[in-house]
Amino acid sequence: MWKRILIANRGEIARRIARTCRRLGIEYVAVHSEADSAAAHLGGAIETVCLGPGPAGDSYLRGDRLVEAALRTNCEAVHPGYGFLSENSEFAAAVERAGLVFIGPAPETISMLGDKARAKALMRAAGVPVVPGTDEASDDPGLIEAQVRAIDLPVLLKPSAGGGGKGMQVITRHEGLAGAIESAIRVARSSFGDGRMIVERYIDQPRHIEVQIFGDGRGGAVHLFERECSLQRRHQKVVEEAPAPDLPAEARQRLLEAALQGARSLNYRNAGTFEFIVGRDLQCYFLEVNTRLQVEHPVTEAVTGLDLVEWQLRVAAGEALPLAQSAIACRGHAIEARVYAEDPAQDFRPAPGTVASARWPAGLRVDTALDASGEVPPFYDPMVAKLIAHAGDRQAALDALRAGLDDTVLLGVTANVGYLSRVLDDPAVRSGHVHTRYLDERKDLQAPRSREAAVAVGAALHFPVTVEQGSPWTRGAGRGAMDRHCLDAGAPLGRVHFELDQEPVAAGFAAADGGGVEVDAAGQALRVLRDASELRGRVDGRRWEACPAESGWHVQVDGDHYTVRPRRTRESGGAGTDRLATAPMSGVVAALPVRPGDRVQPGDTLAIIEAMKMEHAITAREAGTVQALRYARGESVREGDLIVEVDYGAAP
Amino acid sequence: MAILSSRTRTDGKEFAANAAAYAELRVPLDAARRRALEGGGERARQTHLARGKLLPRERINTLLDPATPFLEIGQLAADGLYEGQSPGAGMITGIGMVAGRACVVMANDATVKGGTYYPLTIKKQLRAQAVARENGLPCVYLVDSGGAYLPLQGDIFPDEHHFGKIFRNIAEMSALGLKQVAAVLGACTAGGAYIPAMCDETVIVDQAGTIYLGGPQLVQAATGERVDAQTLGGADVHTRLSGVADHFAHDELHALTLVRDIVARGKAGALPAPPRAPVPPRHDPAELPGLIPANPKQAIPIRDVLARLLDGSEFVAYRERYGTSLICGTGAIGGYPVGILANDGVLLGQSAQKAANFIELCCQENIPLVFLHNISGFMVGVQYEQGGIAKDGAKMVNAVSTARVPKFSVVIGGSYGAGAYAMCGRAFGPRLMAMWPNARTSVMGGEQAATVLALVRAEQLARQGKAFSAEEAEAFKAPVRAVYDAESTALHAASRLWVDSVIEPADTRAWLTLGLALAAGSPEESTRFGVFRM
Repeated sequence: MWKRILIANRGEIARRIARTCRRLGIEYVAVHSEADSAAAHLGGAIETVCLGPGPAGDSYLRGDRLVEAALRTNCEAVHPGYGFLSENSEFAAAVERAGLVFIGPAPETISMLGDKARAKALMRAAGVPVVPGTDEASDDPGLIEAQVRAIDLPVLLKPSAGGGGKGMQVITRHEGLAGAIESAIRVARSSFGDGRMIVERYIDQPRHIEVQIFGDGRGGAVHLFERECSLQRRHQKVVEEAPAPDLPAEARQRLLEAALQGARSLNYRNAGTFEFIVGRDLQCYFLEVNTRLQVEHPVTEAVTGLDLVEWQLRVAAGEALPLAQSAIACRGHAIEARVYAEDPAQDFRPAPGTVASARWPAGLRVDTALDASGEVPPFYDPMVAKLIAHAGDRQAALDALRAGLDDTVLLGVTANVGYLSRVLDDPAVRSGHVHTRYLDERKDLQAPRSREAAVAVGAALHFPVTVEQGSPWTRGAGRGAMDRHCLDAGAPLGRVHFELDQEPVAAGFAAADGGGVEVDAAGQALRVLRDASELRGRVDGRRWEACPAESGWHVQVDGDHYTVRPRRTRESGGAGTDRLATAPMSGVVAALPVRPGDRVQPGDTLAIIEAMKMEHAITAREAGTVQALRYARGESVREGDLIVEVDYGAAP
Repeated sequence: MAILSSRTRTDGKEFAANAAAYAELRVPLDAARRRALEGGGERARQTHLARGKLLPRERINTLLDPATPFLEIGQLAADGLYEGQSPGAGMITGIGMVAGRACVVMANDATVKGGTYYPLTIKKQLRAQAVARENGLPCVYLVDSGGAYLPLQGDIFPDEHHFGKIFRNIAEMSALGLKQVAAVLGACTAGGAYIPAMCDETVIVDQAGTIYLGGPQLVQAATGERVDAQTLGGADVHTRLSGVADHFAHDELHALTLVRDIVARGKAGALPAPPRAPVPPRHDPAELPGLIPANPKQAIPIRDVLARLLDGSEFVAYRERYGTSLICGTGAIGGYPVGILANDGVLLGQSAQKAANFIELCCQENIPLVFLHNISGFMVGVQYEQGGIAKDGAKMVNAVSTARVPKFSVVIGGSYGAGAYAMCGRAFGPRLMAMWPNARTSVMGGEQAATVLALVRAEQLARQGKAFSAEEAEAFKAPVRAVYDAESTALHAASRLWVDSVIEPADTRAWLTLGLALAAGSPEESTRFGVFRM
């Protein structure tokens, strides 16, 4: 086995690989970018190497520096993890050229399978089922019609130049086929300037099921069962599980066999994943091979009890496959949820930042990029952690994962914890009847369901913790007899105004006792319970947790993240001093470097007044647009006179 | 130390009947409260809100720290006066916590006749300022007022306790180091303009706030100059050009935040904790209404009342066996030591002497005094006059007048004649004064007044040789009784600001506790008594 390897990755996968290295007594070298110089994945490394600046292109994607680092630190092999250079055949080749071992498939295999069309042709030749259709695009209506008629309906016409579903047409009957084809070509021409179409069997509501395989590179291969990854949003997997739910034994066997067949035909080496789409008729079709360890490998590890990284290391070291097929069993059910620093409500926009406080659930496998706190740099995939539940059956695993999400706290960045909870609560998800477009159709799940509760929590954070001592004026004497019912019947304990995620909100305190405070948030009464003097508790049956942030708090309610800040004041748009540039003293306008309509930046000079032999610059307070000049150069002005009118904040 | 036991049966018919009678007394008061809280009525409120302004009570609620009390002063002012056009006298005043400091807050209610000043508005603001001065509290003025209510200028403008006194108070309190802060949230016209101008620090809201001695109409009438309100006296003008105001606020909420910041920067400190741990009474204060006899001629069981007001129902009586018609003694309320003077019958020479002595003792120890009025007056009659009851009464009035410990008055039953004075009536400077809903106050009872006047009338008629039949006497007495009945109620007293509040018996402890806490935070004064007639 290895003495020392280089882990050419970051985040949770680098830590995951390191864990196995430590268990096996293998030393590892960790690499990082300048943005990751304090990242958790550097822990325990025998040596750390900085690859360069934050952007991946300057660091984690610099194969030359990685090879150089591996050589310099006396590593024998390089584990690429996933993402970055893990499926880059040139990098794999460069590693091998340097006399090191690439922990993964042969560079040629990576290269072959990286070409999707070639991979499809190879698999078809190996007898693996692929989606029936053409390999070559065409804009000959006659040829296209013949191709359509050659396969079973429904058929999909796909512009070869298109993307994202635009211009696609589903053919469900042969009547009017010629017209439909011509129309599709016309649309493609006008949209993409290229009318060529690919003809494919249309698979309605497909599932995504993939098979984990390991090959010995000499034609031997085993499978480690399948994973279902149908829960995807915008083609990115969110929740994965093993085994695939509700998959008849016969269909499963076909899948596993197809994957093994494909692996053997390629003399596949090391870990690989054969991805298939499965129609509602349980027909499966090859999609592609991922020639690396998958993000979702932990569910396979959970049900097989195996360490896939150990297998990778052993196979790369030239050892035989650790177990024969007959010795590999699937026990129970495992489900993984990916925690991202992203905003589901903003179409999953990445939300990098500083995690001020994190807490991970006990009782689940948690593969994380950070422990109690840390950075989510803007340069990389914003996945922060994976939570993996394993139980006797699917329902128990779902329940455990759901409970784990409730126990997950991530404060400081917007994350998808609440979204994942809503996904897992969805009846279709719970029953396992989903398809790859399901989450894209369920945009309603993206919106937080806890906004009122978050307003209530934000308000409660402004409420004083009960004080036992002190003057009755501060000791909670405001409750009951001498409360402020006479000021505001809806908020006899006071009213607060603040900002929730930059939106001004108001809430009233209706009542309070030792355990909590009743908050009136936009007409909805919610009771916020607080654990002693801790920044956590329950609201309306949901969990909340908070931590101090700059001039406010980060709050998580039911998995959704909010920021509570004091109300900022806004420009009123009236004749406030702030939109004016006035003469600081009487004098003469010596310079007017701006014109109406000019966009100015903070600190830009708007005018110069000469007085008492001194020049006084009038500068822009913030970015804005010059509205009007009230004086000309050379004119005298009196103190306080308006010289330049600026509309701050107005974009041109 | 004794623990007061209560002899009142709380499960009997009488208790229930008393409580029921009390509940009826509250009906007109509750109606008056609702009128006060509505301010200028629904339409005026909607107009106000449509301007993007907060209602004055909401302004105060937003200004104050969460979960802290508001001790309102003069809520029922002007009820039933000015043809009902000035609920609350167009102003809300009270004590509340701003950034951890107790402050007196005075907010004009622009929904009530544009927040203009009626005579009682002046009185109410002066009263609030007096509370601030006595307790050493900063003042916050939330200004939104059109100035004096011109038709009544003669009762507002010229006299000692008229508008000018408000400005003088601001200056004097500022000189005493009591921070004076104004937030101009609306108009601030003519005399009103001096409130922000006089204050130590002033915030003005952009677009909404204006300060000027003469509004645009007046300017046009006087000089022909046409000018809009903002140019004349808006936030920009006053913070940039005139210096009349100090802080430019973008909106009301911003203004309230700035006020909180100003108070927080001030030197006013936090209030001290009570010297002892507060303990609830052993008997439930909620039972107090059942102790108030439905028939006002029957006596209130005062010891049973004390058992429901004092911490742990604990009481150390002073000269328990002497002058028993006035109970004196010490205990605590909300952890604050108090000297209690509570009537248990008509005032006699002995009781008045005892009171004077007791007040001296409390002044020695700096113990605040709490007067529980339930007094029909000093005893009259040959025996008493010859015994010098006026002399003994004078001792008590002298002691009450000059005692410099904080004093609090609660009228729990009747408060009549010189008895009202001796028990620290309004003229004797109680820091706070309240009445229970059942309480009454007048120079004498309606029946007595009617009888006295009827006797005088009968003598006049007799001199003219005319008869005054029993029927005629009754017809003469009835309207006198009616006037006295109407003018002696708690609501009548509160609407004239003779008292600060009408409080629920069950809230009396909380109300006194807050007052005592303020007093505990104010500087100790030493007492110098005058000449006692021996």
